[in-house]
Amino acid sequence: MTNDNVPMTISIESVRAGQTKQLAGINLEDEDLAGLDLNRANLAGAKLTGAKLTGAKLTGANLDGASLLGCQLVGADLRANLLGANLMQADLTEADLRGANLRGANLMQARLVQTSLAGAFLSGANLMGVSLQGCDLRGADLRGANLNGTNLRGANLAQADLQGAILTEANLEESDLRDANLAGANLAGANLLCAELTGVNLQGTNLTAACLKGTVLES
Amino acid sequence: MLPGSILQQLSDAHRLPSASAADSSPSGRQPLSFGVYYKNTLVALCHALEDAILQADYQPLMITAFQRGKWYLEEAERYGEIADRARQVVIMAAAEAGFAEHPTSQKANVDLVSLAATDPVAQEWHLIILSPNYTAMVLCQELSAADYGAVGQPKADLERKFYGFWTFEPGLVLETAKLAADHVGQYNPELQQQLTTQVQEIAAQIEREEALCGLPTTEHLGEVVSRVVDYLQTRHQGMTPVYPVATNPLDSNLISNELQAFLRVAQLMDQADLSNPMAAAEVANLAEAMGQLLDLPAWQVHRLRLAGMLHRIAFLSSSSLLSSGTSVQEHAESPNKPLACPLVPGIQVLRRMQRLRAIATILTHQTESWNGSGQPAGLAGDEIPLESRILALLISFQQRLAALRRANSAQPLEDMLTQALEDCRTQQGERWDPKLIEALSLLVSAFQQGFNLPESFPKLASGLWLMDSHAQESLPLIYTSEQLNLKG
Repeated sequence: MTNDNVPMTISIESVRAGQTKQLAGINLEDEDLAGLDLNRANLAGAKLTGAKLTGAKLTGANLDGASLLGCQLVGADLRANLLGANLMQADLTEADLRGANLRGANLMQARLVQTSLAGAFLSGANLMGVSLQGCDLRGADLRGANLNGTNLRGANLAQADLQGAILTEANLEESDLRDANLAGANLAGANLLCAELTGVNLQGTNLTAACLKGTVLES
Repeated sequence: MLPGSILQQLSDAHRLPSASAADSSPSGRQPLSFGVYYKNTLVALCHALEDAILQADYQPLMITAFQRGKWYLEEAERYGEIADRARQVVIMAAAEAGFAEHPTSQKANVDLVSLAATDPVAQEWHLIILSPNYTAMVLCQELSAADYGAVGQPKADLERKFYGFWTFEPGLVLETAKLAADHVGQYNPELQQQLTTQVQEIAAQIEREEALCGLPTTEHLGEVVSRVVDYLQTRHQGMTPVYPVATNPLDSNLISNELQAFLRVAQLMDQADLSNPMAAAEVANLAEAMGQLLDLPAWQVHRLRLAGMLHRIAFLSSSSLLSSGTSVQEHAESPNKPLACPLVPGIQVLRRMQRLRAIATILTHQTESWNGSGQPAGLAGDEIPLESRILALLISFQQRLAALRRANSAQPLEDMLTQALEDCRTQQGERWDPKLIEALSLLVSAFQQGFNLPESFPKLASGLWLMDSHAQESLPLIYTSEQLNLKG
């Protein structure tokens, strides 16, 4: 992305003071922005690699295509637009991503412990090999998401839309998948030990070599 | 599940919607929900459930399955003590050297059943404790080598994995004891007869009003749960207290079961209250919806939900005070009644789990009144923790709704919602925070416009998504009414 319009005049102090929220394309790499109020800020295409945004407030912010590689986002309020954002290696422990737009985002190697992702839009997102253990993913849109080898142990995926998702070798042990849509999803070699599958849509789902012991499969 | 195993038989009996379920217990018709257990967890859990026998005079019938004789021999000394306090102890295991020779095996009320190597029960781990005042059960089956899949079988013994469930529900324990007695029949018909008679006797005693197994009290189940939590906690390995979910699967399995111990008691309390058997699930769902309406952060919404699920534990009564039909309503609506300040016995049980400290505080103050006339601390207005205020109002609202449903199920839901809300509104400013009444009325209109809440109790085995590091923080987290960002 070219950033011809990067407002070079914006100082880090003015960002901290909340004087401007028009921050598209800004370079804030490795800056300490912990706890900052950035609600509704325009951070489209911003470079936030390695930035510290612990506990930051980013409700309604636009982070479209932003680079958040290795960003510290522990406990941050990220109910924001993160379309296609790069969140690789970001620490999203206890971050609030309810209803966030994460379509096509890259979350590989991100840390997602107790992250709230209820109702989040994750279609086409890359969550390969990530640990989403115990996360709240109720009603999340995970259509076509790449969850190959993802750890979803004990996650709550009730009513989640997983149509066409890649869940090969995923660990779904003890997960709650009640009323989820798994139509056309690929669960080959997945671990569904003691998963709750009541009311789940399994049309065209590939369950080859998946472990289904102790699952509740009533509809 | 292995065909012919007890777990499979029980599971099948609960799978068929109505056909074969002759059992009329409340749990009789629900499909069972299973969890995964490491041996590490099972050892601690079983010790805790067994040690209850040593602490009180339950004189239970105990049926156990140990897979192999050597596992029994590891516990044989303890089992000797347990046998002295039990009506009868049956031990099923594949015979191994020394199995029958141990002094415990020789006791008059101890019976051994040598399982055939091909018997599916030889792959199971059972602990069935049946008595009129205490019922508990662990029913698991070990994963086969193939079940471990690509990960492969664990090397360490304590990392062996089982799946199944555990419970305090008398109906399920009774049902399983019958299945186990029948299974014993293929080895020892005489013992089967003996067990069947005992199970019938205990079943009859459980039916009686004075039986406590289905009515959790601080002395009985409260003590047991405290012990379960203590025993599980001592097994934690180098855990950082900050993170709610340990990344070590063995530790998260322990934490999950500590939480489950409380959730199971809460569920049992719901079942015991025939007038309002869905209180925990409904209050939890209402609390979550309210938290979202008030735009609380995600962790706080989760905490509210969990507090809703556990709210009845605050009303765990002492068995000496127990009278049939004691409902939460009486406590909640008569704040001057004996909720001794500040140590609410049920909540003290909850405090055993560090991670539930904040929940315990929320529940402690659910009987405060907006005007300061409540208990246990006489807090007023915004001094009362916000979550306690929300929860108390929703508990009351749900109770009114349940009472209306009971009185006239033909009445349209919209009318019942309005009525329950108006009932609450009469105490606005005295008992309830006016801002929250306003929020509740928004919630009610959402329901009337077709917004629905799920009704089922959440999956117990996967409750960890509800835990957060904030749960350990001390309250009160004071929010003024102005800070509540009410979305009109």
